[in-house]
Amino acid sequence: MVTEASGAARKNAPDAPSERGRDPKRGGGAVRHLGFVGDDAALVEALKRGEPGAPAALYDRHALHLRRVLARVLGVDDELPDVLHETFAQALSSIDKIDDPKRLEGWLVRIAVFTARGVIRKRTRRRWLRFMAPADIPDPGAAPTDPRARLALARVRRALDKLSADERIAFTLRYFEQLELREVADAMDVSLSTVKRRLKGAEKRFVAAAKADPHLREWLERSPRWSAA
Amino acid sequence: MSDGTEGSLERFGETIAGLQDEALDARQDLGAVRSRLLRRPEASRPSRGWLAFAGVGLAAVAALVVFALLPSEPPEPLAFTLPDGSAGGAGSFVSADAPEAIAFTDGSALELAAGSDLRFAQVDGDGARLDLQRGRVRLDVVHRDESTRWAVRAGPFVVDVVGTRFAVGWDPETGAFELHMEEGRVELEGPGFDGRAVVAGETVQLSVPDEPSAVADLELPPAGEEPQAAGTESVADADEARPSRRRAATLDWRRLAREGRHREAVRAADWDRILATGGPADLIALGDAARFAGQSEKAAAAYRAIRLRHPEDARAPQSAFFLGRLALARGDHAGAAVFFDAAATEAPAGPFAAVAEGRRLEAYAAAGDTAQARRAARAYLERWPEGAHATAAHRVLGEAPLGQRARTERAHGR
Repeated sequence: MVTEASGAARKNAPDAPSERGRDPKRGGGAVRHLGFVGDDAALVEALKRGEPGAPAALYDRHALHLRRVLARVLGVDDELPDVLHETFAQALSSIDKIDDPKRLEGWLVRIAVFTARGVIRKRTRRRWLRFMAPADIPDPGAAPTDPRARLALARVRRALDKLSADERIAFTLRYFEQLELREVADAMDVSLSTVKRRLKGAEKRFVAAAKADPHLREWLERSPRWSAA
Repeated sequence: MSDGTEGSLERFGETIAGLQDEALDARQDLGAVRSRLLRRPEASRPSRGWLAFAGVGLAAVAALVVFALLPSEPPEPLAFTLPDGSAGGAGSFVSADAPEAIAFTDGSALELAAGSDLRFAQVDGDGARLDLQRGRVRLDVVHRDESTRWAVRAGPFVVDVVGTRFAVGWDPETGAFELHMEEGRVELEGPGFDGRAVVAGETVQLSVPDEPSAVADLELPPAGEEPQAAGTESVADADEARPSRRRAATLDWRRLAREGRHREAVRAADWDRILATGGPADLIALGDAARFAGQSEKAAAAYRAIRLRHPEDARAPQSAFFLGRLALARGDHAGAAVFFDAAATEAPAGPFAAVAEGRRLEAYAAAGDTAQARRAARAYLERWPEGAHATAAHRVLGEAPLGQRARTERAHGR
């Protein structure tokens, strides 16, 4: 385990933990974990060896990216932290199964997508059983302040709910996260032709839902070339 | 899919991603997840095989059977965010200076026109009951299931809706009501329109019957004469002319006010008695009725009575807020600022706090009191940095609204 005896912050620490290390009131004697030094392949080996700082390093390097991928697919709501936690927990528990340690990021994205698919299906079942309110619950505290933007996000989620889980994932990764088709296929662990087929169905259903919704149609029409579609 | 659609979806996706990034930026949960993950790495367990899965499945089936036999719990109340950024709920009140949009967690949404007042009288898991006190509201209600239930009260009219898209307008000063159906079907109840269905494409325009309906509802004996036209007699004159009606009218002004028949309520109330001896609940109700009836001086008298006779009551700051609005309406910006200041400082956590602070800075600015306006603007931004009046506060301080600019750039130019 590597440690440092000063306030130098980890480069990749996402938020509060690294800020605490900068607190001048704590003085220069605070000892914090540096996590891990090395590339992703070395990190995977450290994780397999059970090195104590490796899980933190894995999280610090990839949490922001995976949270963004999950947000694209699921939307931003209060369940997102739990899904992110589940994604990393799955990754840590199955690190021995990674084929190519150099492609750690892609492997993590596949786990995130797999976890998100489970969440979508769980939400669908919940809606059916009415154990809770519909899953498209925007987090009021974190939503954009522009009420029309809030409305647009809520309506996007409603339109996405009309897609199957696989269509939704393909659509959001392609158009929201702006991945290339090959990258979408890798993330979903399917062939390129399968992705194209899912995207075709997703586009058809999403556009139909969006055109039927005056709020969403307004946002869509702001996009150049929409009228040519 | 054409290239045009694909290109449009890419640009649309960029915009949505920008909004999502903005929402993500506002969250402070990465550190908490990190702590939880590293504290309890054993939380995630590898799969235990198909036997475990089958066990879970059997347990789920058993749970479903139990669930089917038990009475279902009521769903969580709908959640929504008010224009000032606070969480809304039953009792929330929105006074829209500019058009506002509110989204609910069931996908339903409303748009409130500028100059409208709306109260969320009731909110539960099946819908909401809205009290449109003035102005125009457009609703898009999502029909989730048979229990979905929304209603809009506008004066004496009630629009009962299950799932549809429509707009309601209500002017308490003229008694003019309008319902415009865009999609679906509602049932409209009100004077002369009891329980009739209104369907897509139809527009209903009605006005509240004046004195005759009040006489009928108060179950008064036949007067033997036509009631006078609205606005042609004072309350005292009316009471003196019809002494036999006075007791019934005094007893029933509250009901008239609750039903949105504000002009009739103002006429029916015994003003001298209520102003001298009435409790804060009566005074605020009477003040509201007079305000909605367009009788500013009567409304101000009721609100002032609350502040003079019940200064410790929770409705005292609310009265100050409405006194501020009345002052604004007559162009007394300095007076309005004083009342908004009182409303904001007497109830800093009250439902009117944000809007009172916003109106206060605007009133000081309009009155030409630059120093007070700047002080109020700084105070507003400290408490409500992204509130509805943040742009006005930045303008008073001579600053660019940075947050707004950043959001716009992120949304359109990522």
